[in-house]
Amino acid sequence: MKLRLCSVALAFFALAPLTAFADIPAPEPKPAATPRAAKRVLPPARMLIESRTDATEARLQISQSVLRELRSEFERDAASDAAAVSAGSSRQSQTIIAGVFLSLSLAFAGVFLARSRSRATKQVAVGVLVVFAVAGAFTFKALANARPPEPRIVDAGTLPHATTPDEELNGVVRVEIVPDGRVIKLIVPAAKTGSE
Amino acid sequence: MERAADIGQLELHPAATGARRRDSGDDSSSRDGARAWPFALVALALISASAIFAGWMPLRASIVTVFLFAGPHNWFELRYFLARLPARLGRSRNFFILAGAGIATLLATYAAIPLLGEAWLWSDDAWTLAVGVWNSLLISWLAALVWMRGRQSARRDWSWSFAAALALIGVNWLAPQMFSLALVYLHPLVALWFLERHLRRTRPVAWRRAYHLCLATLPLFVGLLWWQLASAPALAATGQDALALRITRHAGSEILRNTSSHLLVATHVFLETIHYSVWLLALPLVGGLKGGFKAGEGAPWRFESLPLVRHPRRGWPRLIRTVLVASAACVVLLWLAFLADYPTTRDLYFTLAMAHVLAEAPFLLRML
Repeated sequence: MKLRLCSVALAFFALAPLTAFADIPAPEPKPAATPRAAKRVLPPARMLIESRTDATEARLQISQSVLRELRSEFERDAASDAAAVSAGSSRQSQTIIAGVFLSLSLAFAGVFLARSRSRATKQVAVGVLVVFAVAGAFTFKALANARPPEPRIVDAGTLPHATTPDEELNGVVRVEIVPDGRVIKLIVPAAKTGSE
Repeated sequence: MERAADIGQLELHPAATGARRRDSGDDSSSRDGARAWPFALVALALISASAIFAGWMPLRASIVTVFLFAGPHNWFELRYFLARLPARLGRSRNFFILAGAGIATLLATYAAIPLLGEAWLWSDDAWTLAVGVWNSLLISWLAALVWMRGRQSARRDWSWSFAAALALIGVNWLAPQMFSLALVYLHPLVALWFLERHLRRTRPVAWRRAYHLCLATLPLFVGLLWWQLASAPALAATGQDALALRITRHAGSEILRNTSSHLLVATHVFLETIHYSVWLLALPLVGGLKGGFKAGEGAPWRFESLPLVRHPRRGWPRLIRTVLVASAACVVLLWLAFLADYPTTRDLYFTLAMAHVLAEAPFLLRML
């Protein structure tokens, strides 16, 4: 039984890197400097649209903290391509944590098997190990080709009520930097009534 | 006596003994066994109706079923759990302490995550981290409960639960949001497991056969829904309808973006309706609540049969009666709140309803 178990485990560990490496593309020549995709994902910020009767011009107020985030994001972007991909790095740490726990589970399962005297338990464990090995091999393949997760959809709240569908509003705004909060505020002069 | 206190209150239906002597030609047993097929037919009719309703108008089905059944099914679960809680905890004391502490802690953190995330405008990474940690805590708690339950019998060694839990935590960290979504879809199925354990203990084998046949049709119905709705247009294409957005998000449209939200909501509503049906109809009628409705003795609104009410020294009759009556009032309050502001109440309900999801785990383990 132990021999069979060791063979299955060895086969699994021997085959897994092959499956993983199989999905790594061949090294490509260094591409020429091309402008990168413009889309950057920053942490969400709350936005407020305010209609004021005392306002004479439209003003877009951005808080200092949001601006700081924007600036640091651009600086990071300029400094290093690799460091800029924060989503990628967090994904990497997730994979490391997952790997640690999966390894620990194998270790615990081994201890459990060694302690167990029941023949049926050992047979079940071998079955589970085989299933995990097969599933694991397919997971390597699937995850190697998976695209990074898309950002979480943030709740737009009541902002959709600010416009009607298919209608575009435009105008000039004065951009201001305000010291407090994490709110982006758009102050719009209140629409004048017909009699005025 | 110790064992009797330990296993809690699970009174066998008169026909349960018939399950063991089904070949002896006992009249009551065969009569009870004959009722299994009408039960299966009613169950199949209910499953079919749920699938049609959920597939046809998933958003309306979701709104109506949650409004009508969410509160009452929680009350029935509470009553059921109180009926299973022994007056004397005996060797299960530590098990119940861990169960209670886990439910309180996990519920508090579950409710805190969205509040903190919204207040501090967490980034996507922060959300993923919070969800991953919560899932890991949940799995660890479940593993500890499984291990403790295993230790209550010399014949069982359930220490494999730690290896399984570590593997699950590992899988969870690969895609925490996906793991949470899996819980949303798996939770309704736990009720089916409760019913199976009850039929095993309280009804002749014919009931289990009939029930297993019904269970076997479930994948068929889910498959039919997927076949019909795989390419159905999305339910809420714009962010204008806040309620539709909430319902589709709950069903996982934000995570499985390439899957039709119509299909996701229909599948979720179908499973939820089955879940509600088990707690509100099947378990009370087959005797899940002690004695069923026989002669009005074990009717849900009669609390005398509960061990914590009946026990002269260790029970808390007033407290338990008050809790159950107050919970019934909360159900009415929930209906009124739904009428006043459905979307907000729905959000609040699904946050607090995590308590019953968590409470199912220890009570199910006690039945294994």
